[in-house]
Amino acid sequence: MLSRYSSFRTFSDNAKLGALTSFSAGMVNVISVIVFFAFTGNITGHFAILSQEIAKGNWHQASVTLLWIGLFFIGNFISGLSIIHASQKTGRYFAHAMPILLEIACLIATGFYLSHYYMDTLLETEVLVGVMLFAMGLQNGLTASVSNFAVKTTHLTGLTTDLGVLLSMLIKKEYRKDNRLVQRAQLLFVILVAYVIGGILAGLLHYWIQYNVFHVVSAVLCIVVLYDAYQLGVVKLLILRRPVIRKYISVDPVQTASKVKKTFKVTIRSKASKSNAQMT
Amino acid sequence: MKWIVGVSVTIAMALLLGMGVIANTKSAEELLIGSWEEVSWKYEKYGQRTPPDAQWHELSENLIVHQAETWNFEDGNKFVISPRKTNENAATSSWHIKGRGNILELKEGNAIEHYQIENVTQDSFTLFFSFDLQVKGIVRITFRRVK
Repeated sequence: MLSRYSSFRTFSDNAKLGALTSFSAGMVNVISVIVFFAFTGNITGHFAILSQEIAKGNWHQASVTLLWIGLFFIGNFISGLSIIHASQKTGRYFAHAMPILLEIACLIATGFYLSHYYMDTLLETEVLVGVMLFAMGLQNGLTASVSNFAVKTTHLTGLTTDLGVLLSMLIKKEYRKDNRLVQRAQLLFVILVAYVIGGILAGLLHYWIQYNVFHVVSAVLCIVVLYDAYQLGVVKLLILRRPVIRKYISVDPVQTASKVKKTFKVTIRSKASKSNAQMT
Repeated sequence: MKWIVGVSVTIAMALLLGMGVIANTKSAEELLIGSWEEVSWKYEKYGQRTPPDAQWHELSENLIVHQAETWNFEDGNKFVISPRKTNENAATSSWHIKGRGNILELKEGNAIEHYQIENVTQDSFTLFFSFDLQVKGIVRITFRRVK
């Protein structure tokens, strides 16, 4: 989901990443509206509000909105920075996982603060909405960067536009034969559905578990990070190194790790050569 | 390269300006503290039809009209509505500001009311109360600070 980059990504990679991240974005957006009366997934509305508040002369509110937009922007910037510049130093997997790890930290911190210290003041609302916008910026920057702008999960304006245009194209038989267009439409539909399901679930869960919804979102994001860690053999290695498991499984962990690494390299190479063949 | 520096500096300046404005202006939460007297109630979409007709009754069916009352926003989120007539008891609840400072939440037990703050200054503030999505009218309440 995270390790592969740009044109090396398959439809399955994008669909899995898109579904899980848009599901969590839907949850975060709905919970922020319920708790704070502010959207944290989409920025278009905030730009409109900024203009409106400036026109009204409400400078304090305009500045708060401007900082929220700024935090979303900084989130995107840090994501891009990590993916583009840190890959060579830290390895591609860690560089791609770092924005999600930061996002998880932000969401857990927000949930923890809300559960234990929240006094319902405006300053707290302003700061926590800012933190959530930063987290959503990180996520959107990551998904857009790794998928070569094919997956954007926190806002649905562009997605709905693309889906509308694509479906109008798919009415014609010749376009329906184009697998690329069909998969693109499927991907957008998966993201859309996952976002809505996430939103509905967050609304329902909030009545039962209140602010712990943030921990549920974090758990979903952990799947994104751990899925690739598992594929890379990191988790397998950690499991096999545990003495209790090692006692029952007579496998040398070092040998297993190198085997996993080798298999992974072969898979990557074969998938890359397949996609290159398709492109040519 | 020059334009990248230009864009970066502009964004940084805008964010710093925003922080400066926040530090030097009062938020809606700070501005609201004090006593406010209701000046007018207006059903925005209903207009000025008199006498009240069926539509007015439908609009105000589930609405407590606190006309000509004083709203006191106190420190520690205590909210008191003092009626004009001295023989009536004052209602106490709590108040909170949400969103970017544009939502006023009034809580009394399990009952929660939400108002949109249209405008708030040192001397006056205006609220919108939308009470049902199906209803076409929105109540606009204007207040004047009691000195």
